Amino acid sequence: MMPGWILLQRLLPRIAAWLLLAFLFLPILVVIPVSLTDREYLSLPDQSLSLQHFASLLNWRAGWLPSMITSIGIAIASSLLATALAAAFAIGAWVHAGRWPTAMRLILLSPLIVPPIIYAVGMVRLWSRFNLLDTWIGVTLVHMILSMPLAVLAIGASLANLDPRLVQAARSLGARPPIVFAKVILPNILPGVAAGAVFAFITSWDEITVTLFITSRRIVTLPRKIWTSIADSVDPALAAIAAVMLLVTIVGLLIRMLVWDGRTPNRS
Amino acid sequence: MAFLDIRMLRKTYGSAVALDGVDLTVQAGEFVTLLGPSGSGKTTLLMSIAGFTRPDEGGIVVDGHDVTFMDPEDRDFGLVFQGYALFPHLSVAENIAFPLKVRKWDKARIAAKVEEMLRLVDLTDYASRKPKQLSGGQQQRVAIARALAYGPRILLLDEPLSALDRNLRESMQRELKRLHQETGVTFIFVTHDQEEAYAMSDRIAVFHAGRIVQIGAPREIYANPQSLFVAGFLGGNNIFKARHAAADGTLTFFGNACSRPPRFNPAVHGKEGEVIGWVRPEDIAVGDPDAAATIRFDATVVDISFVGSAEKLTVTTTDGQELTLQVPMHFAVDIRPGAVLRCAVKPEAIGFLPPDI
Repeated sequence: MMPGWILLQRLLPRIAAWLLLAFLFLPILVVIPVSLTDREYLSLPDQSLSLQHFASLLNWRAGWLPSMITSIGIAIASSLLATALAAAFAIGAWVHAGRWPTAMRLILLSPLIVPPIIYAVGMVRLWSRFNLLDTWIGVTLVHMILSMPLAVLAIGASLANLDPRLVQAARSLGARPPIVFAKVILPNILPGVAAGAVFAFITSWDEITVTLFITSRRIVTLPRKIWTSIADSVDPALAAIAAVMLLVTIVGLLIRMLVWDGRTPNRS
Repeated sequence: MAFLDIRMLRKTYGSAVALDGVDLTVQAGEFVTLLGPSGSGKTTLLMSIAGFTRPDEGGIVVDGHDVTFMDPEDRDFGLVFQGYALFPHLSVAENIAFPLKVRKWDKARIAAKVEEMLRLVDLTDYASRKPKQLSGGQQQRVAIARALAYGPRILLLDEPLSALDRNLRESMQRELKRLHQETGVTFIFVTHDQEEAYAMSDRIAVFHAGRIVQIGAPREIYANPQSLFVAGFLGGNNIFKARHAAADGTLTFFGNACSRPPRFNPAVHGKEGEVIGWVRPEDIAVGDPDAAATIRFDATVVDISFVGSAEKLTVTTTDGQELTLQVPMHFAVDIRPGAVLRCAVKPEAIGFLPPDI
């Protein structure tokens, strides 16, 4: 009688874990059959599978391609800026540990704490005063601010493993600050900087709340385009774009895993 | 004129005084140790010499040039840390080559110098290893080789051996002494470990509360502490109280009166009443039958502890003062707490201190 009970005791957590994983992942996969529907509205395929909705993504006038380019452009620009600023702040705080860096860090991390909708209201007021509503610069700057926290955390985490005395050691050996940065600090925190840049890119890529408030007709990011097309129609192209994004994400994760795991043995 | 000349250096952090007017002169090629408990200012002084701490007042002159406010990267002083601070992404050879590349030496010259430094610290076989693959002692040797590679005028060492275990520390002390002799570079060494200071230094500067309270050769400092702090800080010293009666010229301590010991000077140590004396544990003999000119007293054993080379006894004298003394292991076999021992000490072994300032 005991073996059965023990088996159950061992299996139950496993089954629960797999069910939880399925619960998290299956709803995402549902976009794949829906994207292949042969009908003109969001539905599961009826008679046959069709790639027409993927084709319509490539149609410039449908607006998906331009919004994708807009999103990529803004995401690249804002993530580069956010990563550079986050690295500058994180390194500064690491070198001059103390009360002020801690306070600054709290301010920088505030976008993680303040609800985006509150942020959005504030940004609309501020940006209208600077005439930055519905402009490239306005959206890029907002996305940069929103993606700073994750970049600061990622870079800060890799600096935490580094001895701050390396800076003093390098300077005593004759290296000026630019060389200390390029030859000592950067090579040691590169994985953290890369992770920070990826986080920043993703944050900008799927930011919607604040973007909705500060853009209208000129700047249409991909999330905004998805949002408006849900509001006016139930175009299956939505499912197609979701399937594409899913694919890109999975490929990205695979590359990251391969590159990182391939590197770890050499690094230790 | 001295090679390194530090004058009236003062540094405060808020209300805390780290350096309270420090004067120090060091000759070229000297090995000087800054010794003191943590927070006594020795590391602040080292960092001021290195250029990472800006003093509020005073100046540092090296070889006739004022370097007080010079950037650390221009000073050409090597710096070695307790935590090694090796560049983790570079190999041993690349770490040593770092200061040479910064100085834009040509490749052949760098390769030759790295080779020479690796040989100097006996790490030729480890050139291509990463710091993480080395033991603590090996890492510290790399750090020293890196700091000496470009021929610095002064090597500053900030508790470089504290992270190593005891045996390794002793062999590194010999290693440092050898490197000091072979290179002829001026070494300034910070430590809180007095044995380390004795083993290597030409001179020791004892720090207390932001000041150098005594400076001199190791034996001189050990034999002649000039203040209560130095006497207590160095070598598990016994500090005791005695009464000086000026009328008949006697000192009373440990329950008996004796005439003034040779090192007692009423003008310095106290004209009348209570005075402070010290005696080293190794200078107190137990049950010594001969030697006429000794001061004898009885003491009750309180505690016995084995310290490896000897037994350490804690005893109380008849006037209630606690003393530590050392006896050979075989001697302590019969001794139990509560036993009364006949102790003896030579008058010339007893030192005295001026009333504490």
